[in-house]
Amino acid sequence: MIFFNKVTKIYPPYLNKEERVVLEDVSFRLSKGDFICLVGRSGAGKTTLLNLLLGEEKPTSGEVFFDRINIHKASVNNSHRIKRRIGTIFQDYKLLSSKTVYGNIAYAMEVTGSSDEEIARVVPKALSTVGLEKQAFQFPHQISGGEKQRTAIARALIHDPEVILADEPTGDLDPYNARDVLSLLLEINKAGTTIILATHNKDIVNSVGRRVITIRDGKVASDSNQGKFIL
Amino acid sequence: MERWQVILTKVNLYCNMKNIFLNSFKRMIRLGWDNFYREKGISFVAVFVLTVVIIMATSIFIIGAITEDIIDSVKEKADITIDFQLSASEEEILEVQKEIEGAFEITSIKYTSKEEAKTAFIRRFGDRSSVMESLEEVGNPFPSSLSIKADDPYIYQQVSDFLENNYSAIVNSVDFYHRQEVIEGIFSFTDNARKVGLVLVIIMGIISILLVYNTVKLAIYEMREEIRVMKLVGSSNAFIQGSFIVQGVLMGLAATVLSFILLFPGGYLLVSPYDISIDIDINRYVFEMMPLIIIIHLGTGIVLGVLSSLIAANRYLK
Repeated sequence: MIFFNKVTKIYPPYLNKEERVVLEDVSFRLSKGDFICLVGRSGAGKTTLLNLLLGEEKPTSGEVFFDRINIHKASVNNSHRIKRRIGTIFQDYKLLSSKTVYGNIAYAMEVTGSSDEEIARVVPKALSTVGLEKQAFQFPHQISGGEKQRTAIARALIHDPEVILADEPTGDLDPYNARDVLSLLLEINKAGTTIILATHNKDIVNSVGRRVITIRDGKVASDSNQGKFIL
Repeated sequence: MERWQVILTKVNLYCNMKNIFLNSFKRMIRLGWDNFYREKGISFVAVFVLTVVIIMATSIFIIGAITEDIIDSVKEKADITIDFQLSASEEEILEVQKEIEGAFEITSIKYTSKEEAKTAFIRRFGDRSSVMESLEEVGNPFPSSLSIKADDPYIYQQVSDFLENNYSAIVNSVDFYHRQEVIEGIFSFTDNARKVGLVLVIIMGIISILLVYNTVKLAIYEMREEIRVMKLVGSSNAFIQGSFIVQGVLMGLAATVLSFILLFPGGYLLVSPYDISIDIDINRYVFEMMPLIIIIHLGTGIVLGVLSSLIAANRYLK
């Protein structure tokens, strides 16, 4: 389903900084329904890898395929279609402060041309999946970090994506909320959605017990199915 | 699959696409309005700057039109008159007129017969008995003449030389030689006035565009996070750009209305019809040119609003 083929990403020299090799010759495959933990120190290249998959950045060399489509050579329409098949979750939630929980989730449908009826039918279901029915009309500043992340997960689920990219989703959460978010991701994965979880949290990785890809100095240092955090 | 099933599938697909397009269009307008309304402070600043620019553009236009008229009026004053010998017949003079019309690029030529010259004199000085008595004694001392107007002082020179070389027997005098300096001075002044005007318009235009662009850029900078979220949830660039076009149009419309309210009643109160020796009435310009001014207002406001919004938003779409 997802195939990174000898991907290298080099940031060109900028101001007084020299060029920086962020990813070097990275290759791996993911199948539908996989749950992988992408681990590595801060700056190891995890976020760059996710951005490459989202089409936000282009590789210096190599290719990234999503369902046999080269993401970086796809037409504009195909590229948007692919993006809608990928849900994203971030450490800083990326919620719009001017919108309620309901509004933030509905927004993802509004900007992609869904009708009002469709939004009214789908959003409550997403709220119920993440257990936020009661907080539906509260604003982000009125809810906890865990609730914010669950809102972000509901928003990511709204287009029924085949893949969810979670970049340090538990980074700002206490252990209890982190566990809740992780359980939610595992549940979503059980329903068939591929999950790519980028983290440097050892406990999270070990508790999941799934495939772990370790990135070190921009290279794949290990790709293990034993679910152990090795740095 | 049966043929009818294929057709049905295509019709369904078409209807779905149409619905998505209509929904997107509706939401684009709503989102543009929401952005405009929600960011009141920034929208206000952007509208204010656009209003100043529109007023500047309109003022430049009105001042330009008035200057053109002044220039034309001044040019109107620059003409030459050829006085013919009293012995020259009307046929001979009309022959000269025909030749000048054929040979030179003049804007007008007018023949005044002796009788017409005398009538004009009487109309002007008829109330002065001493003058009229003298006129009766002398008979008709006025020569027939041709008055010529042209856009280029060089033509006057050519016509004068032409007459001197070919018709010196019937031409008494050409007043170009006495007025040469004045005529050339007028033309040089009008040319310079146009050049200065053009340079001013270009400078003001560049300043206006930079001013509006930077204000709108600031407004969109505030929304960069929202743009990023829109992209993350799968919104197309066209949709995002569309919402900024709507926002730009709204800014332009608001600025158009505001500048209209400020410019016209204000202008009417401030500027009483002023009269200089060349008969220019500023209110005539403002009110006669109203449709054109409205187009300039809307054009400047909307085009600047939309272009600035699009250019600024595109930074975050790359």
